[in-house]
Amino acid sequence: MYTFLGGEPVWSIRAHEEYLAQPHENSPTHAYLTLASLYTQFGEFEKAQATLDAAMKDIPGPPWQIMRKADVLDGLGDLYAAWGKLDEAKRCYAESAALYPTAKPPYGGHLLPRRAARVQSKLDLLTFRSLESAALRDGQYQARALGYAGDIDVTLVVRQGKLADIRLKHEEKIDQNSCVLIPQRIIAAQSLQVDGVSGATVTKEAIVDGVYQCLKKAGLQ
Amino acid sequence: MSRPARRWRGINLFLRFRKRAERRGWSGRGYALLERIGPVTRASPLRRGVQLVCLLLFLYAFFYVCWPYAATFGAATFSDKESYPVELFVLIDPLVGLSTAMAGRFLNPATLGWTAGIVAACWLVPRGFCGYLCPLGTLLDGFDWLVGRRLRRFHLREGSARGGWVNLKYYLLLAVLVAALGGVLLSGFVAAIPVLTRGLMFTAARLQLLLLKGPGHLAPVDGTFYLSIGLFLAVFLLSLLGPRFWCRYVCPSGALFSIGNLLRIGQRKVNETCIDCRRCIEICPFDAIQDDYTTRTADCTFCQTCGGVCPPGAIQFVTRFHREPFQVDGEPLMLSRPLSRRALVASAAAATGTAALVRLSPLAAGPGKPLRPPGSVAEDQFLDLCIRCGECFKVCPGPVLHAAGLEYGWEGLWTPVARPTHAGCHQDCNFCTQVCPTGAIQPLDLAAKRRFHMGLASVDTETCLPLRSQDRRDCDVCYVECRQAGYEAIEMREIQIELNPPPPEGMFSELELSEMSRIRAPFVQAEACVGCGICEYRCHTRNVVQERVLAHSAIRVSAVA
Repeated sequence: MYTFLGGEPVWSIRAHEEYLAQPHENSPTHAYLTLASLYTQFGEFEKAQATLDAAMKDIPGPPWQIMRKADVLDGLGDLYAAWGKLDEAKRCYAESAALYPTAKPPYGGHLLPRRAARVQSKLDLLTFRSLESAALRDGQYQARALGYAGDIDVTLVVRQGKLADIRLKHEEKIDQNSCVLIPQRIIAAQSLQVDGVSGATVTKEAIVDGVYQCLKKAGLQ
Repeated sequence: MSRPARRWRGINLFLRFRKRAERRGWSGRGYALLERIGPVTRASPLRRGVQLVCLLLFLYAFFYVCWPYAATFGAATFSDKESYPVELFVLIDPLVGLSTAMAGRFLNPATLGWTAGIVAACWLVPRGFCGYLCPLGTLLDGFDWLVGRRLRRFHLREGSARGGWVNLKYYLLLAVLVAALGGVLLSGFVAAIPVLTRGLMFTAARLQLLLLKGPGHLAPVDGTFYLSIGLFLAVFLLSLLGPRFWCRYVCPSGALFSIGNLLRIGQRKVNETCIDCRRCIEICPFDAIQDDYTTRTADCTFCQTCGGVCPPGAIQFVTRFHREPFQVDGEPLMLSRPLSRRALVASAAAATGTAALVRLSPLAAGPGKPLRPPGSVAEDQFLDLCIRCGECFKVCPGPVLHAAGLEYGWEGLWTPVARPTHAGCHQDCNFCTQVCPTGAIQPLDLAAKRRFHMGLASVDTETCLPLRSQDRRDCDVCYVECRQAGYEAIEMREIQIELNPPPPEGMFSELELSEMSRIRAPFVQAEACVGCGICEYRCHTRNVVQERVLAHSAIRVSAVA
């Protein structure tokens, strides 16, 4: 009833408007979110914002409250990102990503980390869109990532806007030399998209993740 | 004496004694330099050289060849280095081959061949193993050189040094062999080379790991760890009672050679030019020269120190059949003191008692079976073949293998057990199977190792994040790990979650409801699982140590019953 119905969004918008106009026993947050995203697709940002504001007022009570609030904030982030209000979008995404882990729904809890990760990646994408134009600030930045055998402490040195040095403190047991190779490759490529070392995927991902955290500190936030 | 030019010179390796007036020129300076290092080194420098080479070979094998952390890791890592056999020194300890053959009822041509070879070689050079080859003996000589010769306060005096306990090594040997006949292997606790390798394993090897890899690699310690270090230190501290005290009176491996000396060919003999100066008696590190200058043939290690300090050169190392022109005041005594029949019976009885205690008492193993390294023989035989030398822990990357404490009874003490919470058995490693000297771990090539079922993983459905009924979470670390290692023994299957209480009408879309009621969870395929434990290690590291969402790993590997 309240789906996109075979690629006919105009019809779908009308169906959702009608559905939401009826009285509801339980808050149909999902319907508000779908409608808002449809409005956003058609560039009707004010209408989308009004829909999401209504969704926020019509939020269900506990135990679903926090999860649904984070869902609506995610939708708001999508709206502002499409609208070009990047700062607003980042604020909403960040709030949403912070809310998900605190939600305590009776079931479906396994979806929360997935959604939080999805929101976080959208936020990172926005951050990087502004990073492309922004030079990295020189300095030393530190971050910690989850390695294979323990935490990996990454120290990134930025000089003249470039990745100059990556130092690791780690306890990896058999790393196939990736704790040496991966930092070299990242610096050579000046990019996080580098080949891994077979047999040490987790270590590689941890190093890339750590350098990425450092980059976020070095760039615009 | 009529034709001294044709006198057979024997195998004299010592450096002839020179009077002060003769110490001139370069050779004289060299002589003086050696004398400054120590009179024993000066008297028999060639023997010191052989000792040093053997010690260096041993240390090279132990610290370099058995160091598994190369930059890139794979079967080639070790096979390149293993052109030098690391277990060589364990193999040439004759007690290792003999006792494992007796205890395991297993005639292993590899170990017994080495045993027979070394014993036969020592007929030519009596107790040459102790005097020339044994790295523990060389270290003890080093200890004497550093500490013992300066600290003589605790040295036993002549008189007291001849008590009945001088035959302790024979009683120990008998006890070990009787226990082995009864099927309980005790030799690993007292045989020379295993004592050394295990002692180093718990001390210097840990230091090597700590310095070169970091504290995360060190195994946690328990009381038996200190027991082993204590045993190792005691071997050295015994030297405070006299040089090479352990070798002379305690070491049962040495006792085997002493008995082998009954068939000796070489022998130290003294001719009539002896001037009765007692220098040889005083310097002999093995106390093998009697007051009448004849040899205690059971104790002489052919180190030839006496030959080098004898001013007239009266001491010669020839065959036992050479009589002329040597002084033969009666056949030299085999032992300084006769073996006590009472003590022999007592040691045999003690061994039987210990074996029975170890097997039958509350000290015996509990119901749990230890997770043994890949390639291990059946548990009963494993206990009879494992000499507790620790080579497998040394060569194990991670390390996965640790010395068992008392959790598997006294019989399991210091045997290798895999601890997947500390590391998983790496798919590209078969090192432990290559170094085991006694065949407790059978040699496997990499392909065979990857098919060897050392255990079986099982998922605890009450703990596993996607499987448990409360607070489910997505998690597939065990699956990913197993797949990347190439075993594919874990499968992710979608399971249904009951939505209870039913969700409020109209609050969720169909899609949301469907997402809520499904989750992918890991299941072990028993026939594909080899029990390597990398899944357990991964779950433990990620969920217990890093994320702290579990109290213990949700997938655990146990020995196959």
